[in-house]
Amino acid sequence: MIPISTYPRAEAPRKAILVLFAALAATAAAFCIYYSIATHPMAVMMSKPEGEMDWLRSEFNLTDDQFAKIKALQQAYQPKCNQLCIRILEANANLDQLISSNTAVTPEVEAALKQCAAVQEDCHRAMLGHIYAITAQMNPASRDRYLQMMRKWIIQPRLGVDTAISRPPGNG
Amino acid sequence: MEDNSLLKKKLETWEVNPRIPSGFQREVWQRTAVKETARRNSFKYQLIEWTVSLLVTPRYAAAIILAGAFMGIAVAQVEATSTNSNSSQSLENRYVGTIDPYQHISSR
Repeated sequence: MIPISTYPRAEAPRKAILVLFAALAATAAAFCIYYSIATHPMAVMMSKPEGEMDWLRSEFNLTDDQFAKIKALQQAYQPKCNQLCIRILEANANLDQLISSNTAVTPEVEAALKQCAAVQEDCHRAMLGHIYAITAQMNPASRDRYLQMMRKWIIQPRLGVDTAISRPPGNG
Repeated sequence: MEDNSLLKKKLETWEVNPRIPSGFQREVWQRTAVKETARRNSFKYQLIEWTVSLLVTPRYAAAIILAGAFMGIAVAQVEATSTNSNSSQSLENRYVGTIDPYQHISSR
């Protein structure tokens, strides 16, 4: 047991309360300072219009040279991506209209479905081509992580990558 | 009226001669001292006294303030990890939106 302090009786509780307040203030200050320092880089990326490219750079430890090449690839891919977006919207609008105006799967509806599937295939092909082009610029470790991350966006996004596990032949 | 004058007369002649028992003061002080001792011996009082003595000792006060700062950092670390994880996921989605036309359309 710590010996009772020699502080005057009225003074001691006041000092003790001050120490408690100082401890609380130190806790709050440490929290605010550490939190703002620790989250600052991500907050900057989130607020920037092209923050996702900065995120890619930091997440996959890209060098300046790798980042410049990937950025160029990204810029070259954008018109193709926009074109695919337009095709998706057109194919979806066409299918939507045919679904409303038909009560059975007519040859027109079938053609519209095929059109949607074709656009989806083109999207996946273009996206996968772009992903491979990007991985070609990365270090082996980053390449594997990047492919692992992108896999889930290519293989049936709604189902998840674990549904695509290859089965040995003859196991159904 | 007659009752009032009678009451007035009685009040004028009323004298209070309090008889304080001998040792009354001593007994009061004794009782107060017993209660004070009991209070000081109680666990609650001892705990408060000990805490106060701890807090006013400079090295312990410094240790408590330092412990508070470390606690703040520890909690901030946990919160920052969670915030950064959410931000990272959000940036990943944004990135995918730049290369996946379907994601791009749905994020508009």
